[in-house]
Amino acid sequence: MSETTTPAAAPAAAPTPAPDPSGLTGAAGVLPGKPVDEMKAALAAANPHAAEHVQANTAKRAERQAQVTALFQERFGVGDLEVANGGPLIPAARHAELARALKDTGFTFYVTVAASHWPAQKTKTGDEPESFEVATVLRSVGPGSLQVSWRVKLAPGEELDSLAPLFAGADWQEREQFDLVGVRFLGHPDLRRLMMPDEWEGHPLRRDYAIDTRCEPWR
Amino acid sequence: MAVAVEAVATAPVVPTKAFVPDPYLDLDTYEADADLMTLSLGPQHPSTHGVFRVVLYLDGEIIVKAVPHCGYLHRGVEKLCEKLAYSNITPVLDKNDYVAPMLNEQAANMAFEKLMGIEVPLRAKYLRTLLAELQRIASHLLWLGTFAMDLGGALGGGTSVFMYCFRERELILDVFEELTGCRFHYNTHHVGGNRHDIPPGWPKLVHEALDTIESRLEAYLVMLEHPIFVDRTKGVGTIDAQLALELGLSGPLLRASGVDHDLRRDAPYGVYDLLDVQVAVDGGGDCLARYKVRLAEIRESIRLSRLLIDNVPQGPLSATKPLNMVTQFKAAAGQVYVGIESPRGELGTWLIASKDKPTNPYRFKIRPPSLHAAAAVPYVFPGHTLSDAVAILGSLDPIMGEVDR
Repeated sequence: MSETTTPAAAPAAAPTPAPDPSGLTGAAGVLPGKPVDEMKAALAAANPHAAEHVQANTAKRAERQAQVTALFQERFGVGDLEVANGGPLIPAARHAELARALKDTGFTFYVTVAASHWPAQKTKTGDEPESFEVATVLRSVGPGSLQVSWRVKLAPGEELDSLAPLFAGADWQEREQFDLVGVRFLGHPDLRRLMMPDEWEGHPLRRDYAIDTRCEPWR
Repeated sequence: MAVAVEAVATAPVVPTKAFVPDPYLDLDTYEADADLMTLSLGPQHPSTHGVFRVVLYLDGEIIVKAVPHCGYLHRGVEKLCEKLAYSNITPVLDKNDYVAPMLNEQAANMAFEKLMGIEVPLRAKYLRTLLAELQRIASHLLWLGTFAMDLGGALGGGTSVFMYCFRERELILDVFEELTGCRFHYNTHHVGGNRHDIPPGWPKLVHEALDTIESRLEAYLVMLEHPIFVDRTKGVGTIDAQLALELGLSGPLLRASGVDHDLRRDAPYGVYDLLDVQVAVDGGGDCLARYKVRLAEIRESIRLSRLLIDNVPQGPLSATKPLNMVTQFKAAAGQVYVGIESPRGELGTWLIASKDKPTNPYRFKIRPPSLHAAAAVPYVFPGHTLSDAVAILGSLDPIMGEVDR
């Protein structure tokens, strides 16, 4: 039907919707879409190598996962790598050693470091003293890229070995955590504030850092 | 009175001594040929793309040390997110990487969903993938325009390529406006899915925009790929694969240094496991290689977008009910990291939830790819002239909203 109509012949009073190249136009205000099987078949036809990538990724990831599990088990005595998804807790003294071992295993990509502040808390089981937690994420490069993370618990004032001599990318990330959370990194080549002015007092991302605003929830 | 103008020798300026770039160079022990000149580039210099300041120490015309200073755009986003409910965080993140906001929203919401254990419906995953690819085109187009402007007069009149690229980027923004009502602070992702479903006529608009952009890409190549452009970019700001990995560079910067790594293919999320993403890799490591990789990524994103818009699957767009109160989403105590491939590289979110307050994040840490690009400056600038430094900074493409947060 549609091939017989021409734009000039179309009546102005009843404008027909413009033909949709994907042929998906529906009557309702929402594009109805194709059945899922049909969508997958269409994508598979246009992407013949997609399944190969998935296979290669799965195989490589399983291999890496086995390597990491063995490394944590043998050298650090840690069995569960997904402790609530944040990674296992490692003694602070072995932080740099672990990073070096992982880098040698193939985790050459430094992703991020995230420090967090945990103020002293009174709980039913006993008082928890103030502490800091530093989480580090590394990643392997190429097919089957796998991320691995671990956490370190620090007492207030305790310093953590810097990873900047190992990964140059850790330089600014650790400066940022020092600046905002106030965790000091031992052996960092240039531990200055990154975001806040040099003369700033306090570390804004600490839980007890009060922001002077008049609005209630910000304090 | 006529003055005879002698031909100026165009020999490259090279330092007189063997030069090894050292980011932590001690200027007291450095023996300069002449007095060192200190030059503060930025924070308001247009070539620094926002507010980024680099203090350059020049020996003659050669930069011997570069000390970047950032934080001029620090807004305390991470602190703010600790105080906001999960549903209210998304619009704040749009302002981080303001060139590719769609990816910011996706990165954060994927972390929320992982922590809450919400499975996103296929249609939402599919739409997110499509939006990410469209945004990648827009982001790379903006980069191309500003990079051409950085190279300036060499390209026959400064801002022409910039204006052309913005014209094409507008088409993508129009498409997004049609879908979400906003041109770049979309707020279209939410926990569990997407907010705005595809209107019936939308695929046609997307196809038109993609066709126009693809046809005009050829025109850019005529404007760009001539000897002056190649002279200004080839061999300038070379980062080898080893250094790129060391610095944590990701995305086009890493691939331009010859490392074949792309999270879309290597750690697929969304519906990338159904797609065969052709990862553009160039071993050059210089500004020209970074240009080539980004151009190839625009073409690949056009191909993927066309394919995706033609095969939208049926189904619901969200796994969660429409928002009726800000405390609707609650997370159990835990920590997750989720990284996705933004136009600038690995954009990640480290999210901690505590048991005391299930409606807010306890700690919200963004892993910005631009931070690492900016951190590469002290490694790449030394040994180059000031004019090359501007070209290098342009090709690294740090977005300061994302660096400073």
